Amino acid sequence: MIILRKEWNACMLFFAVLSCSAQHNIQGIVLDQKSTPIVGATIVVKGLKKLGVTTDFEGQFVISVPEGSYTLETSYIGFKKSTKTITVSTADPVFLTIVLQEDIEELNSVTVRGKTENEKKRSTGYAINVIEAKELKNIPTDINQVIKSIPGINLREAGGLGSNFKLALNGLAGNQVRYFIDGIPMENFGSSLTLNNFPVNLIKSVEVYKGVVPVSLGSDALGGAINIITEGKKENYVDASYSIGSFNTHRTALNAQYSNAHKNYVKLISFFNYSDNDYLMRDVPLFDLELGNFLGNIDVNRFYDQYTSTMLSAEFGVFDKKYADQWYVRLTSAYNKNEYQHPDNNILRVLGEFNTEGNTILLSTVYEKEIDKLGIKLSGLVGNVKEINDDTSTRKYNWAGDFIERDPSDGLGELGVARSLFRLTDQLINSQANAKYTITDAHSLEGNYTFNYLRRKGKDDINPVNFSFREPSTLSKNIFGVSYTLKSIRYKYDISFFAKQYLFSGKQKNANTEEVTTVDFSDTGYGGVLALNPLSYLTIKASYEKSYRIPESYELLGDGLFILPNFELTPEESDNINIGGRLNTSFSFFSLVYSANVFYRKSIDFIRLKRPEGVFSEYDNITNVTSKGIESGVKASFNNKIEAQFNITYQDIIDKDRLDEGVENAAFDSRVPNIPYFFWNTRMGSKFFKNRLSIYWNYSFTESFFLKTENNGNPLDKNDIPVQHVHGIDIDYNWKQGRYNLSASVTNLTDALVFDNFRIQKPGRALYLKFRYFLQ
Amino acid sequence: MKQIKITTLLAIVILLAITACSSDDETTGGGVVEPDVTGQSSKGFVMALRTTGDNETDYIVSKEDIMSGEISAEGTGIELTSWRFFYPVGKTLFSTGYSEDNQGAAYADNGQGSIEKKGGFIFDNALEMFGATNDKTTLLAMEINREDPTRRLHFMDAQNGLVTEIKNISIYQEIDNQDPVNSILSWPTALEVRGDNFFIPFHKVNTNTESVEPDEALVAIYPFPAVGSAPEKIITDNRTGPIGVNGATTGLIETANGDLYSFSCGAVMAGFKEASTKPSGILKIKSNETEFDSDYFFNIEEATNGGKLFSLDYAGGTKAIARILTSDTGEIWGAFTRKPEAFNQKLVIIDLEAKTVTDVANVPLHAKRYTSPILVEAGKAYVSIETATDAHVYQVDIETATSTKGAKIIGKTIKGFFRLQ
Repeated sequence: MIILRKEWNACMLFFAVLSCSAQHNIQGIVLDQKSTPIVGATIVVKGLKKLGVTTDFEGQFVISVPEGSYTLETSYIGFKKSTKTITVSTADPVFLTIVLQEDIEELNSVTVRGKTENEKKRSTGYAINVIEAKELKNIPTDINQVIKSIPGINLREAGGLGSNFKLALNGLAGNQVRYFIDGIPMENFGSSLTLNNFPVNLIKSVEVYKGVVPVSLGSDALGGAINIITEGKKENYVDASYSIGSFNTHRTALNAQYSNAHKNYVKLISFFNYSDNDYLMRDVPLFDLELGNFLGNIDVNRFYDQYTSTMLSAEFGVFDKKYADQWYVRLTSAYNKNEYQHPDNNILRVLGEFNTEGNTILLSTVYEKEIDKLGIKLSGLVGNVKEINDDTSTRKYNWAGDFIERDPSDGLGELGVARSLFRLTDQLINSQANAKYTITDAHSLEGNYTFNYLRRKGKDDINPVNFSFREPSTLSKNIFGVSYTLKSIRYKYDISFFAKQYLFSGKQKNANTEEVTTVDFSDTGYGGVLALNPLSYLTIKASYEKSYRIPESYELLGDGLFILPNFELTPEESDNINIGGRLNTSFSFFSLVYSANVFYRKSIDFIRLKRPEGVFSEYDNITNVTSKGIESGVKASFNNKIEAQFNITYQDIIDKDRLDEGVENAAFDSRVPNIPYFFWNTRMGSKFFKNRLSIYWNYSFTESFFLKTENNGNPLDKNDIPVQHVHGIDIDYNWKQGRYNLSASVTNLTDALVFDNFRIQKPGRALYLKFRYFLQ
Repeated sequence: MKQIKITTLLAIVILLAITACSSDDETTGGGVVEPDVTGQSSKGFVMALRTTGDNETDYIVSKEDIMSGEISAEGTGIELTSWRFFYPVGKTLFSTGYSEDNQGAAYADNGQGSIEKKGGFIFDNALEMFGATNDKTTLLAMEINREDPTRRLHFMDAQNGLVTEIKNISIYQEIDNQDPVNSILSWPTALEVRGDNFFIPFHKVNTNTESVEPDEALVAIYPFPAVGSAPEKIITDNRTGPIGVNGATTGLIETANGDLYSFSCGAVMAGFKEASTKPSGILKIKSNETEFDSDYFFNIEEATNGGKLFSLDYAGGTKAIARILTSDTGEIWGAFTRKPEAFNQKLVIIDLEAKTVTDVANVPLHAKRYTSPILVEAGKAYVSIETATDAHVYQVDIETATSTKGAKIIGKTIKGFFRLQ
């Protein structure tokens, strides 16, 4: 049962009780038309300031009042208000039965006024941030740009649109964070379906779980999970947009749904993105092509960085049927092509023809049904993902855009030591079964099983001796999770415990020796979350998880060539703790949401590619890192017109290796370099003309950080990434009740030099315009 | 176009970066070109310090007294962009990158007691073998493609730190076009100029860069400075195995009187697919000759009770300082690791003419060896001794084969000691 509370708090009630003499009890029960008790209905005693209660699990309530005549007003979201006048005297205690009538009109707008699904998630014990796309849908940007403002998140991008990125959540990054779409793990979905491809208006919301992940998101997420939610309501709508901007950037998106009276529906989601990414690079080194000598620094526009991506996803399904609350089949096809101006971490190797292409086809189905107290969700997915790396050029480029043809005897590729056209084909199978059983309103159980299978095969059309994945490698992950949740409305807590069992097996055949290697292991993770709601507007949270990340196949099995298999490899492990709180309060014209979270991650056995000495290398569990920090966000709005938010993160990510290959580690207890440790951002603005026009300013600050170990080297010559200030403006105008939307965004307003890690430059000032049509 | 075998580590790392988005932790300069240097002293010993920690960046540090206290990069040193190779040419120190870090530069005294950076260049493949002309004006450096037989010989001017010429030369190859995996390439183990001859001892390596056909010493000889694209001749000797070890630049050393001495190892742990059946030992090419001296062979295995040479550096007069693998663990590349069994090296003084080996007193068994030649001045050699738990500077008296333990190294090791003044 949905519990919506707009209660007065218990303490105040207590006060009221104490301060009055000769108290009498009004007892009662609140029922709906079917005589089902309503939990959480609010009863207010008119005329008595601050006196009100909410009904408990049985729909019952007790109010103490002095003798007299009172008017009780009973309300609950989705029901019409009921007013009753009673007289309380010493003679007889009052027992009331209040029946509320459903309010159809209000039900339709229930999400606006009640505690939304997202608000409920926010008040659980998980360290979760939920971003609703609603307010952002007109901005010409992608999901990554939206979630990077969340406290605790640091997003490192290698360049402009479509560039590779690495998202860090409280210091854990890359594949230590797992991604989901509507609860289905997005592992190995290919580069065309990463979050930077999705325009914001395609989705409904994004949930970010920090460090502790509910069992329903079945994966080996060491540092957290990000779940993208697409629109679930079965309404008819069309949401279409086109944006154009600097660097010849074009983005279109279509999100449309049609449902009929027979409870059938079809949904389409698609996007097309294109950019030249030809932004200015300042002071890049120019080297001569024959000898390689440094000639000087030049300013130059990137000349080989086009990116194209497109996706079409069609979903057919039924809803609210006897046999299913929801059942759909979704077919997704996506493609991208990415030109590389340089490798992601090195601008000295200039490329002019190396590119990658990706092709993804996914077929998935999801079935959901609630039978009495049991909720079931089943999903299945098969996929085929192809990636092509084209390193066939015989040319050598420099930053001036000049090139020479290589000597015919020289077989070098632009990137690799031999020219190559390498095709990687992945076959995916994912299935998930989830069951939630509500024993009573207070107790519930959830079980989740995820099976994830990947078969990877490689083929090189040009280089006959590239054996990478020539023989397929397979890996399968089985993840079982169970959780138990105890909720008490009366005592205002919500507690749950969970355990997860990870089973893994991998197999690879060495193309050279024909040797088949297999590896299996299992680990058990566990955790718990606690939320306390001492006041209706305050949630105090704590959560813990012992989490794992299972090695990827290439880490475990090597490539059969230069990276040796390492069967000693064990999963990465982390103890993740969050303690925080959230305050959500509003007065007549002012509302304030404040949240703060202290996090601690003690991670061991990070898997890194060991630096080769001699010829071979291998992945090894070599790094122990502790991250601790504090993140905080505040969002205030005034009259729903003026809004301001501010998010801040300070984190210490500390090298915890006492020894490095047996030698005392001089970097022990020092900050891990090349990761920002202090950053904040703010966004503020106002709406005008009946909310038709809005103007927002945003700003982000990143403290300077070092590229290499902090304490080492002459400070005068140390490589650092300087302090960064980035400003932006978003202006948005809509008419016809939001049907037509026109917006303009300026990013990096001051044209500041902006870097990510490795000191690689990002785009300067850019302007984007977006037109969006939305019909519901 | 002949393409032989394998994607190397470089390609793999990049491939992984693209296919798996996973390896951007790899240490490189990223958007950084090595900055100019401001204020690192050039006085005393200039050292290449290998730090510890995830990053393992190399630093050029300097210190006048290295026989006491600690040598550390804390608050001092020129921060390089990655793990580096170091090679001195006279009073100039070249440092070049490995793996993805495809840049290098020269470092020298600026005349006012500070180190300055000179020049700067990039390359396609790591430069992995080094030598210098006798007049100490030119660095010789070679790109060794593991997939292609062409060897790119760079000439770099020590005055300005720039590349003056690149020659594509061949050393040795047996290309199997039918089955490229069976091809054999060359792995040079020294670039030694003597008079108008240029000597390149080499290994035959398979396409996994493992040394094969381990029972013969080989040296390719070219004219100099007009190095031809193919050797004038290749001389061989079957009294010992291939000359040198992967990564060591001193496969051939020249003594004061112009004699060349080579060292052969042949141990599996030094990168041989199969151990040489020939003993580890020293051959000689007499001054003014371009053939092995058939009257000279120093059987080190015999002299050291089964030990095999892992390095050999000239130490003045008739002496050399060398590292001996006291046993061969039998695991290929084992000597390049820090596994417990890799700490099996002893330091010795060899009298090349008298054919004697004397253990240097008070030096513990240790591991590793780096590209830079050992610094010897005034009868003393300076070496970094890496044990399983720490590293220290040792000063070795060549004449008496005794040692003095010096400063503690805060880091893994010192890859080389140099003088820029």
